[in-house]
Amino acid sequence: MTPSLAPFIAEGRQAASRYGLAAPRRAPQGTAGSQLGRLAGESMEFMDHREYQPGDDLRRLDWAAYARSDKMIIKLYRHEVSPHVDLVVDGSRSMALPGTEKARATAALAAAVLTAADNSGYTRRAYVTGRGCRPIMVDQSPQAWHDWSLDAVESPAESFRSQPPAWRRWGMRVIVSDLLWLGDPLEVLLAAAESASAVYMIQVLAADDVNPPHQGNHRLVDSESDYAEELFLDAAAIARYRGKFQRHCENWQQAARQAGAVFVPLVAEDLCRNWDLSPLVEAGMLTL
Amino acid sequence: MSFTLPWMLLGLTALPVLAAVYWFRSRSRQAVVSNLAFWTDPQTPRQGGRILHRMQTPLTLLLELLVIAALVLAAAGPVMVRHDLVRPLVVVLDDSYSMLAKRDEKADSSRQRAAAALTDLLKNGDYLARFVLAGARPRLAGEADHDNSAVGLSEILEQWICQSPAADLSAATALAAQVGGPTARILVLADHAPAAQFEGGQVEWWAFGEPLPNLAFTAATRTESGGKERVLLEVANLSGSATKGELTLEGGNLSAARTSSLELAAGAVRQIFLDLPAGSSPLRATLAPDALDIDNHVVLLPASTRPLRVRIDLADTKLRQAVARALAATDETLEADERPDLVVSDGQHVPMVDGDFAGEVWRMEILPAKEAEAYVGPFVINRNHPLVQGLSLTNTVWSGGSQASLTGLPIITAGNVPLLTESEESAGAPGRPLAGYPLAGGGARRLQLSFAPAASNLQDTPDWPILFANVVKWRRAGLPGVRTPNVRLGGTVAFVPAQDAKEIEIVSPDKTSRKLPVRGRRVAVAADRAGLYEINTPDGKRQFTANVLFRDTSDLTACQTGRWGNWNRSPTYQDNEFALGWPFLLAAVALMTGHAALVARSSGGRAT
Repeated sequence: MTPSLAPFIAEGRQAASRYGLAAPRRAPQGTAGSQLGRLAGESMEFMDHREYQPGDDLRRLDWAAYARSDKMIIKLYRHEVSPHVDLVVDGSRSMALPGTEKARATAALAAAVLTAADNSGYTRRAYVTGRGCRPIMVDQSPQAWHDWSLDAVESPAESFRSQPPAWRRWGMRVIVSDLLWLGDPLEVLLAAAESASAVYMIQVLAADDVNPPHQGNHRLVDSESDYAEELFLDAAAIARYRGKFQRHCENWQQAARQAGAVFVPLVAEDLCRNWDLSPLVEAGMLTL
Repeated sequence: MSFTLPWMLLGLTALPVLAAVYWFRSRSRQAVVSNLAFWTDPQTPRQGGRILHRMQTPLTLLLELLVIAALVLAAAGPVMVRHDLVRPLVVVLDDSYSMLAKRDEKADSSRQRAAAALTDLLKNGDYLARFVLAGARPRLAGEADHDNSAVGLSEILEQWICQSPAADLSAATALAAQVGGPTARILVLADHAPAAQFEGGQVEWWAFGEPLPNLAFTAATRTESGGKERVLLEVANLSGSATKGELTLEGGNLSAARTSSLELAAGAVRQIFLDLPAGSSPLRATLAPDALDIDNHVVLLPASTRPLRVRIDLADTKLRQAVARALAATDETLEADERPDLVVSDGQHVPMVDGDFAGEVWRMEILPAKEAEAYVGPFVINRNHPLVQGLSLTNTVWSGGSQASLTGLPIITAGNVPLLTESEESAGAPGRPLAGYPLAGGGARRLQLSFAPAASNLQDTPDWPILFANVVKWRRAGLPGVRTPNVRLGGTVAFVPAQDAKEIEIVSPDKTSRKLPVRGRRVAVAADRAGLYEINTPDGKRQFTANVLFRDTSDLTACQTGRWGNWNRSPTYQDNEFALGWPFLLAAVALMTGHAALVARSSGGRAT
């Protein structure tokens, strides 16, 4: 059973209180927004001058500068955007792996992303995977986030196939998952990257996922299917696991590069130790 | 089947240890993983529900257990005994009274435990057993039946009464080796450890003792002096801690039993002195019961009081005075003309004595030497004779006759001139010398001394009273009755019966009686049991007592239980046994080979 996520959500909100979401690298076109983009745009706020280049809007010529210098100088104004973020949380059982901090980190990260979106004036929508991607109500009150849990047996890929999220065009898309289901990563990544201003794949792993159990006889139980098998783990078995696990993660990183997504791996136990969100800042997703 | 090194079987304790190690190692720890597919074959179809592959008990464990068992059995040296051969066995039984010690009234004594172990041994083995009782002197106790039946063994064990004051186990073991020969096993049953390890594996030493505290009498005497008797009792605390006890005195003209408490430090000795009127009744002293009861009882009979009656018929006044003075110095004589035991005369005439008593009169004749010559030595002294004990004749001038005028066996001579002779005096054959020297009893003796006091200084030397003291002592030993009524256990009591007695009856402390013939008017009775003895003769009843007064034997602190030696180590006994170690060893090698092959076939990460 998934533990109550409310305390974790509160922790995430507090951790992200001084962060905001960075502006997306690809601005939405044809809309007037409430936020200034990173690029030059159509707003009234002056940003910089540059020399005229063919194709520039002649209305932006700085005639005063032309009169003084006889050079055609274009006035650049900040791009005005109306940013939106779509958050998808992997709701499968593996995200609430017993004995680990995965559930805590997942809930906190979801809360952190949404809090940062709020801090930056983003509109936001959140989904949790299961039998399809189900929208969850995420208003300002953490108590209202109780209607989702991490107990699905379907993988996110299956959820995307059965009922994908209602992506908003040119919005930022953040997926929080351990990405430990078998299948083609591009199936999910391409769906998320279509018409997106930015896609962030936050992989939340448990320390036990990275560092498998010690040697000896173990009864391993699959967290999602309850399939159990007794194995004698020796050095060779553990090495095989590490190899498979590393190849799987590399596949996801490669697929993320192909889809233009940013891949951010995190270890839940490390994250929960001091709530250091600097990896997300370094990835360009959050900003102070 | 038996084992040469049975303690090696302790190695079997490794079996449960190995099983426990396996169990702990093979115990499965449950771990929930995010995706089991990373651990298993990706081709395995995922299935819902709990599917569990139970772990099988590894064959390697079974093989390792068998290997350990086979190695331990091989190391223990299993041997199969051939039952078609009878093995000679000589059993040495410690007969000292310390074997009677026991922790309390309900417990078995060391002797009882040893007898039970011996019975088991003989019941379960094909032994032809002979027995040696190890007392102060070892003696053979007989041979059990070939089938070691209980009846035959019990008859042997009945002789094992443990009443000896000490056990010479070394001599007994040597006797056992001599009796059994080089092929016989020797078993020593004692209550303490052997003094040294035995070589060769012929001897096994089984001890059944316990280090117990013991309060014991270690000395008890009753002597007469000055018209009264003095009793000395010595009690020792033979333990490593302070002990309280009680001493009870009865008899000895005491009005009632007298009990006093004793408190002795560890190893301390307490001496108790008691004065009794002369001729008092027997005195009994008893200590409170403890681990060893036999040394808690002492009976002291009144000492023999009759003085030796001596008649002196010497014409030479100075010589008479010298003789009387020497006799008086012994404090055991009474000068009397009537019924003398000893007549000292100058040989000029044979003194007349009364009637039947004449046959028991000893005569000492100091013959005035004719043509005397003074001798200053060297004197030839027959040191085997009781009359010359302590004589030195140094710086002595002995004036005697120059001719061999004396009759009987020479005791002291100056060259070829006899100065002192001795012979048996019997009716019709006076002066007949004896081949031996009876220490007590026997017929009347006649001593002849060639001595001229005027030209001698013998009467002024210390040898003069010594010579007469020896004469008195020898004569007193021949007086009828018991010379020493209080002896220590294991001692011998010399009894001189009335002249006409042919045999006497001895009643031992255990009320058994036996008759002993009288030869040479002397009977030596061995006090082989502790307690009061009775001697019944035609002229009356006499008593003597044997008391247990041996500190070393009563000291139980060194007693212990254990076994030393091992017959199976001796190659002498290998003929009777088949060694079974090699089959176990070969089996272990085969099992280890199979184990190695099994381990080599297995690989890591296998589903168990």
